[in-house]
Amino acid sequence: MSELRVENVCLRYESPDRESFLAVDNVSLTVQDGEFVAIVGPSGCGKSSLLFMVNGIAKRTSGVIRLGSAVVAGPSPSRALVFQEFALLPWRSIIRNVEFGLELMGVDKSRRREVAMTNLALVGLAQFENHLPHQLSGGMRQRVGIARALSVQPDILLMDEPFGALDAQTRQVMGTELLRIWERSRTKIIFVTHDIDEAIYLADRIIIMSASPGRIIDEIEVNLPRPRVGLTRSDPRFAKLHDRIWKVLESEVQESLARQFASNGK
Amino acid sequence: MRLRTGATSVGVFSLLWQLNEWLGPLDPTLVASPRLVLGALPEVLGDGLLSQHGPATVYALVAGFMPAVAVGILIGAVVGYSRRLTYLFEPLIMAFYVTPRIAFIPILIMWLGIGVSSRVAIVFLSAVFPVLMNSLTGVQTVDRLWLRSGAAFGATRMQAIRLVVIPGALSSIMAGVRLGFGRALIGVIVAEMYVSTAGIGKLIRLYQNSVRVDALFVVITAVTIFGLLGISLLRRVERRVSPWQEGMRW
Repeated sequence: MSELRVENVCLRYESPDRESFLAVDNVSLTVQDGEFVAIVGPSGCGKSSLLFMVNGIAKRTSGVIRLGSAVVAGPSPSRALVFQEFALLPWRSIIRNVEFGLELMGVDKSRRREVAMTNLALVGLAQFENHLPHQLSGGMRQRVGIARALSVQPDILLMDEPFGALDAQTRQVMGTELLRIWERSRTKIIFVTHDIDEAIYLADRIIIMSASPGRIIDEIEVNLPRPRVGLTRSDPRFAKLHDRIWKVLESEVQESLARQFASNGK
Repeated sequence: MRLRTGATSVGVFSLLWQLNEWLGPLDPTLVASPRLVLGALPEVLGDGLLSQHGPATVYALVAGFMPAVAVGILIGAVVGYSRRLTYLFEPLIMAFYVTPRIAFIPILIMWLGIGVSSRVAIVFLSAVFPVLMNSLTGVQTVDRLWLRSGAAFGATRMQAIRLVVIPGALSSIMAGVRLGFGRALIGVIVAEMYVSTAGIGKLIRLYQNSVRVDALFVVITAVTIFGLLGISLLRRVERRVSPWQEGMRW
């Protein structure tokens, strides 16, 4: 219905006193309706920048991004972001954080409360509606971030390392939780991560990006049946996928590290 | 605990002040004492002088302070939110901020006369710049992540200012409001002392002319109490509007 098409997109940071920096280099990808796509790549490879360009808060230097027939020209709740650092507003109660997107869209008060409550219940936090963000754990806060994004009924959910700030066990639980939520709504998702296992566990398809400037260097179908609850890393199919992805990624990670050392040495 | 410890300093100060009258080196008619000040209390209150002059001061204070808060927050937020507007206006705002606004009293009197309007104006000028400066700084230091979450959901500039920038800068804004209140109080009293038909400042001048140190202390203490009440009211408002400050930052 409204697939996302990213066509030949580049992002170049221009700066008057430094050399311009190419962050994203000629990236093209498509996300179908109902599809869960993960993007993995070494840190600093521009995968988050790509996500921000799809949302619109980052302006692409060239190329086109289309959602359905509409060309992306700026930020929109229809391409809702979930941030690594949650980015909740600390002075707003949980329910009012979830309502935030709807409020910006001009949805009237009673309607937005209703929608927000539904989504807060969906992420299992209905009884925390009147708490403030600092009273919740990291995992709970990110659930609020997800509920906030779902409330605007986006065409696509853009998740920028959403579980990156959480501990390993919480991550695991959140992944399962996310799949449960996604199975219901089947909103298409781009999920940026540097965790290969997480990507395999969650996604239909994994896009692998190179070290900076970020290019797409491989794309892998995850042919594991759903639901994947209970699927473990020791499953041979899981391990095989992991090895395959790591083979592609390893040299990129090394290059990225070498570059970081070099720039630190300067 | 805190209250008791705090009361100690006030108590010891009053005691030393009182001891001066009985044993001290300083002339009690010039420095008074708690006993003399208390003695003057019925007279100052009884003559109705305080209740006669007080309302004029409170009126000028409220009438000047309220719009100063509104204008200061709004301009501070709008200017602070835009880098270009900050570059444009910051020098001007800074210049006004460091200039003692009470120096404008003669000019304001020439423009507006010796009536209440020049006092309202001086209160406004006294309060508006601290509020504005603190709002400006507060807005500039609002967490970029909050702004980004607003932007990502398509917030317009005015939505971002209203829903993210001002609430996010509120603790800094409220510090400015408290500062502004103190400055406003100074402004109104000085203006009334300078030339005025009514008000606490005028009352201070009357007692000065009759060398009534004891009565002056009654008036000054009344101003002190009024100031403290004002500040605690503002603190209460602050806790009301930003309860999250009580906990962690987020």
